[in-house]
Amino acid sequence: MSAPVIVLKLGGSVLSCDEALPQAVAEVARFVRGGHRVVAVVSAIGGTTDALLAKARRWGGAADGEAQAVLVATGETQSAALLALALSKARVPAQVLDVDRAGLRALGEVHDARPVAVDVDAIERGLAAVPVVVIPGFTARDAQGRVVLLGRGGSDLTAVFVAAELGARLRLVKDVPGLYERDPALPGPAPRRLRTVHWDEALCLDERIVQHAAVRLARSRRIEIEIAAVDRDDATRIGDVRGAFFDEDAVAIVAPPLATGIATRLVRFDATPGDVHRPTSPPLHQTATFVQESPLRPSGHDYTRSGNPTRDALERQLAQLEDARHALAYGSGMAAIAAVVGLVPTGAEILAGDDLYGGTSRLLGQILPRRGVVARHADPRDIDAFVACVSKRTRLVHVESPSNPRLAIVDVPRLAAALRERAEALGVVCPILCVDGTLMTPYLQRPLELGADVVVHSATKALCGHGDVTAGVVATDLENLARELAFSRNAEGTALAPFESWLLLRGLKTLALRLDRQQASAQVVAGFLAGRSEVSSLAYPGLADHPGALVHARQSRGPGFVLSFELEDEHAVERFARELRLLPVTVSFGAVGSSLCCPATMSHASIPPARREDAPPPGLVRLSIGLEDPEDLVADLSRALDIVGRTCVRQAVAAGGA
Amino acid sequence: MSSAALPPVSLAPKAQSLSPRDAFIRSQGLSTRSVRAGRAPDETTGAVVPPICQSTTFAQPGSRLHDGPTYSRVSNPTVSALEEALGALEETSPAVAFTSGMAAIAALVLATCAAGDELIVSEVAYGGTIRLCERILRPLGITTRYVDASDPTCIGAAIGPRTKLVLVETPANPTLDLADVAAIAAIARARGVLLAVDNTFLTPVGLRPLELGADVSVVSTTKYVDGHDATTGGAVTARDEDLLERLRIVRKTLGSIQSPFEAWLTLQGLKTLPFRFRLHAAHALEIARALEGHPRLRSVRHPGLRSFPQAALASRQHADGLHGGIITIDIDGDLAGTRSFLASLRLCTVAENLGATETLVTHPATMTHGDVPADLRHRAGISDSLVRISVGLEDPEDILADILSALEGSTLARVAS
Repeated sequence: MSAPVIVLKLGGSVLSCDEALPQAVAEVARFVRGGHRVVAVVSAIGGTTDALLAKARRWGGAADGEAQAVLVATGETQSAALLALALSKARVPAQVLDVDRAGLRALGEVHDARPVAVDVDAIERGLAAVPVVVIPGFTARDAQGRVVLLGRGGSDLTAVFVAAELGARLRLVKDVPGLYERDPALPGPAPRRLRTVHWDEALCLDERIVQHAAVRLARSRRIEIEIAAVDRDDATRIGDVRGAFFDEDAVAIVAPPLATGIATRLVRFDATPGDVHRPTSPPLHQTATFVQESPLRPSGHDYTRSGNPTRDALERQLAQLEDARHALAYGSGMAAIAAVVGLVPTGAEILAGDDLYGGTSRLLGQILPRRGVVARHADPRDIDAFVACVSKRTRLVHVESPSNPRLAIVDVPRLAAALRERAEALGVVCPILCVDGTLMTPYLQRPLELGADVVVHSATKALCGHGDVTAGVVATDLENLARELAFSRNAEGTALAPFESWLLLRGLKTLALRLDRQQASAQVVAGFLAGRSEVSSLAYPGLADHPGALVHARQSRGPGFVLSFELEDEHAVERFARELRLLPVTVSFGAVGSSLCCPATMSHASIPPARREDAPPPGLVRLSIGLEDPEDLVADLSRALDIVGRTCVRQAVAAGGA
Repeated sequence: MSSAALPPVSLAPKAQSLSPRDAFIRSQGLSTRSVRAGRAPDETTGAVVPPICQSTTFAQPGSRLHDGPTYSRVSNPTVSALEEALGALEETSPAVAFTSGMAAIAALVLATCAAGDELIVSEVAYGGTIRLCERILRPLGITTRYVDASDPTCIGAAIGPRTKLVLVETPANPTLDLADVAAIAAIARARGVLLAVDNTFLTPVGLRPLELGADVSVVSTTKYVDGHDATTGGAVTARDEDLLERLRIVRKTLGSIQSPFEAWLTLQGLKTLPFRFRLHAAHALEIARALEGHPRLRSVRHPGLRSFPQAALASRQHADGLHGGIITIDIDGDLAGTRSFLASLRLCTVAENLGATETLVTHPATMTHGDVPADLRHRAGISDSLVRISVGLEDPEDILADILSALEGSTLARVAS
């Protein structure tokens, strides 16, 4: 097998109609003549997919996604067969491998699945016999053998995945000679054609040009994608490269508009692309309504509850930070969690961790039962025992990592894998895995990359960081979920207000800066507390002896800014808090000002009576470390501990000896 | 305001009747003061973040003398919180907060000078300051002499019998010339004139003019203090209570007090000032070093560079080796070439303002100093090819890559100048 393999994806722009088949044949033949073996991944012939979707809508109900997928997939099967026939007629021997024979497996939603396996041997056997193997794009089979689709533009994803698995070169053949910095169809100066562009920059371009999931897969597998027109070789290369343009006179080396560094992305986020005034700080659209062009045709935004430009900008940035397709901003963290939990239908179950924010416990224990949803709690640190609690009725699994307030760590990738196995064994749909990442923020940890389906945050905490906003965030890649969440949010009216969105956008600019410093200070404070005998059960993922330290280090970029420890009892805690001069007693955490909280009587007082055994002990103290000089923090804590220690000894002596 | 000689200025800080909490916070480190100063939990509700006192007026008891806030043009609780925070940062009395840096400078001059008096201003100064001197003060009979402030003897030579106030910027906008504050302060004190330092570029994190002997420190809070491109504001700090009081009288008469909402936003921005400033400074030094010697640049100026003419003064005068976040480059080209460079920038934003989280690039000749008379511009060394870079908080490699690519990609005509 010496001839190099190239995966050529021929999309609907190239296979625009049956009459375009000869052009596609010529392109494949060109590579065969050049000494390549070709795996041709094809989309449906132009217009077919939309026509099939229209038929599905006309003759079918909205609910049956599976039948719809089967129908739509026939478009790709048709074009693959037609291409193979046309190639053979042109004396280029070709073989069709439908998704079954190619072993293309994908998991996830029926219309938005992700490829997980392909039968490389089957393809190689095919290429040993003939120079061209044709595979339908866009579709695959799931574990149960059902037809699933890979999302809008999914043939790109098929092509990237197959190329990655084969270790082959990859080219997406289009009707334009490569990528442009902007859509050429839009008004404005003629956009320049890109010679090279980094994966991250390609993600800024419209999804219709190249599917974002395909680019992300290419990035994670470190695959280059070529984009070229038929019969041309001056392709745009997407890969680990700096951006550059094609130019008739000279090559202009251009820095990417969206670079890879997260600090740059945080600072450079353009909240108002297309704003004629080009303000560097986004305008605040403090408005309830928007004028409509016509009473008959909705245009743009109509009502802030449903959509607001300032909130839109925030959600775009939050999605970008989580590297997710969708983010929704709510009026509070609880509103965000309630929205996710609200996806679970009556009669179903939720499995949740046992160390959770008190408000979450209250929601699960006292609100959900009214809707006939039962929540079970277990310790997610023991993955097997935890997953064994998943029943056939479990539709959602909710954990925090690190947990509030004990800083317990959950091995998210292992949990995600174990849930999939358990669901397969039970023969049910895998429950949605939701991770509350509030103690980390996406700067330090990205649960979606670890295998979670949904991530929630109380943005009130470190995301905003300035203690002036109450807000919540939900982020996900799952199209259906995002759509349902958006629908409910609009119907229930829980979206984040414009001004709060504006303040949160402002706070995000310094996210990296704040967390770097807060985390460093927390490490100093934790180190100090570790040496104090008055303190027991010190919990901080940055300490080597923290039980979850290794797992956390694998799945995050740092231990964060929250730690907890225990004093003798609640009286000691009260004395301690009273002696502190710098740290105020407040609920909440993550702001630039440090604070102290006694969860038993404050943040976790809301744990329902039925779960009192999971409540934090009365002597537990949670510290949130801010931006103050760490020496000042240590001095304040030290002094207060000295006084509390002396008081304890005095009381013990008075009581007749310790 | 009479033009009689000013009373001798005392540099000793006066005792303030601070709350115990404010007094405690003032005893803490710089970062702690930025986060906490001026922001005692609200007395009424315990709110950790001070309320925005968006109210014009305050009910008075009527039956006795009212000692609380009366009218927001005179004073406002949220603005007072900002003033306490700024004062605590510089370890001095609460500041006087204005609606812009220009309003602060204007009030300072009107509080200290009258018709017939003279002002000495560094010849390298923000264009707006020079515009104030030429277009507003001169017709009012207050004349300005522009002097090379990088040489203290020039200032000494320029002080005359009518001089009341010396105003210098250090580093100066935009050439980054430094003024030796201690030396100039000694001269000013000996001659009985006030020294005011515009500390916008370094902020109290980088420079303490009052500790070096200046009478007044003024900043545009629009810049690093707010740091988020969100507000316009100015503030004056001083140790002389009489001067501060005169400033407040001028301020209430002209109506140039900062608004409660802007003050609140600025207070929030102030919380991260030390960290932002240090990062801006670190990035600027790294990028300045990388740009030094670039074939398309005639010069790269940053007070942290060894090649900087006043490097010795910089290391003496600037705290903790922080030389600020501004770099000034002289492009080897003409106006067209410089414009081409600016147009080729993809990451950096070409805009007025500085000190914000994103990198901002300014062309002084046509932007900030466009209103400065041409001869003064030339004396200040502000050519058409001078470009000022306010280095932001992006990853420095990305900022540098953008500048380098713009230098490569622009069409720079090689013109011998």
